[in-house]
Amino acid sequence: MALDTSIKVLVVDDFATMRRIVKGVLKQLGFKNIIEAEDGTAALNELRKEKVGLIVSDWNMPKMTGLELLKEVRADEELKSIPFIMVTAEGQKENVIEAVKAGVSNYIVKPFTPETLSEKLEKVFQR
Amino acid sequence: MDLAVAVTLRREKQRIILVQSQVKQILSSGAPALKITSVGDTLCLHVQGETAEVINLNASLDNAPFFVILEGQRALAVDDYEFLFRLKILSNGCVSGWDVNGNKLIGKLFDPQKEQGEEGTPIKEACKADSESISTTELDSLKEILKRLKKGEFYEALTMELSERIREIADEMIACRRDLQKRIEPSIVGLAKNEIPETSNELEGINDTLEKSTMKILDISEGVLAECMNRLEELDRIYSELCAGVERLSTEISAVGPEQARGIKTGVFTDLKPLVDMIARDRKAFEKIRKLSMNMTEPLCFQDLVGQRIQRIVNLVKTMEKRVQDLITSLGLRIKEYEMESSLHPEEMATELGEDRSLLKGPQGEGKGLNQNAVDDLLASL
Repeated sequence: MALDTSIKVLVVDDFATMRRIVKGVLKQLGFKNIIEAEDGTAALNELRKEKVGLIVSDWNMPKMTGLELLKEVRADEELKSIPFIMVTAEGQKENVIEAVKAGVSNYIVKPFTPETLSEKLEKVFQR
Repeated sequence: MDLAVAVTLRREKQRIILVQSQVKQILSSGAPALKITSVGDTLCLHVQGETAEVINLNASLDNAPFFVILEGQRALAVDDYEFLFRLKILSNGCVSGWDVNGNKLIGKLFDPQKEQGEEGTPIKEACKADSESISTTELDSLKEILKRLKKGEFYEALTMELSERIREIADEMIACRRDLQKRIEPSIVGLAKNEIPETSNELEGINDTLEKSTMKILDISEGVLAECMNRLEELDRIYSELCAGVERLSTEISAVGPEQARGIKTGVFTDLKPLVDMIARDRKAFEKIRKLSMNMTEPLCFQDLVGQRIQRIVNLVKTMEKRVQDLITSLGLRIKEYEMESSLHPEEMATELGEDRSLLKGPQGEGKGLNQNAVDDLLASL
């Protein structure tokens, strides 16, 4: 299945530079409709305001972590089917297992290349 | 009258009897709660914040083994004492009673108005005057009462001793705290007021600078990328127009004859070849620049990774700051400008941040943690 680049993507990270980097890569991949949030709480507000087709989120954030956001999304009837990619510096085995248990769609370890993000997106949307 | 105390007055060798209502307390001279002072010839006892004057012993003489504290801030120095029960007032101003061993004692009743030693009947003589006996049951009962009284005295003495020790410990603690204050105040106050907050601010400053620098690099990278994309589009457009122009030319010249037209077309293509090759080379170069700009995103993640590490150190420094401030507060050190931070402390932040925070270890060092391939393998196995 070809990547549908018309969907709205939500990029969640407490570092403005990371949000910009992820957005830049997504734009290069053809995504034009990209919104941002700086933590899980702000992300949930965005998700409840408008329809989003993909979430790319960091884990370690203040107020609400990426894992908590993932759990909230999966527990919400309206949001639970949105693909969720965790992009994080947390590279321990237990982190990956915990994220999978919570229903993550894919997991990217920082630092990452544009190719890695592109490849994971394709895998997520192939399912 | 149920209970009395028969005492032998110090240096008088004379027994007198004190009824229960006259006696406040009996203390040994070594009791921790007792302080003995002398003012001139007067001997004074100080116990539990009260003072009693000894009325039968001169301060120049030695102390007695026991003191009986009387009502009215007076006291008697005595060599020994016995509790008496089953008291009976006799006609000659004497009192009879039974001691715990079953002996009947008779003595002169203590008169607070009279100087002691003026008169009194020796106990032995008094004993002879009364031959009334006491039963074994009554004697056992008396022994039990005395045992309880002795036990009460013991606990009272113990409590006094403990109170004294606790007061001494408290004094030592206060002295120690004052000493600590003197020793650590200058250095720790400096740390709490200036050095630790400065360190924390410096680190946060580094984070800000890193973020600004990364943003500038991203500006440049995105600028280069945008320019590349524009140039690539432009080259594609020029190439397409060139191809279309050649096609139009070949259609227009077809009227002069197929052979000549073919010759002209080949000539034009030969003439345009360097231009076409240049477009292809430029396109390749811009494509390479585009890829390089894209690849800059990976190393630019360093700001996020370094930032996270610095933030952990900032949190640690803030925790230290709180600990030092707690120490200062608990030791009562003086800091005029000391004010609590309005922002949350790291511990409170951690509480707010949720349960999974304990899983977060931050960016992994070289060779530590999982790389993307290992994560992919793990995901596949799950």
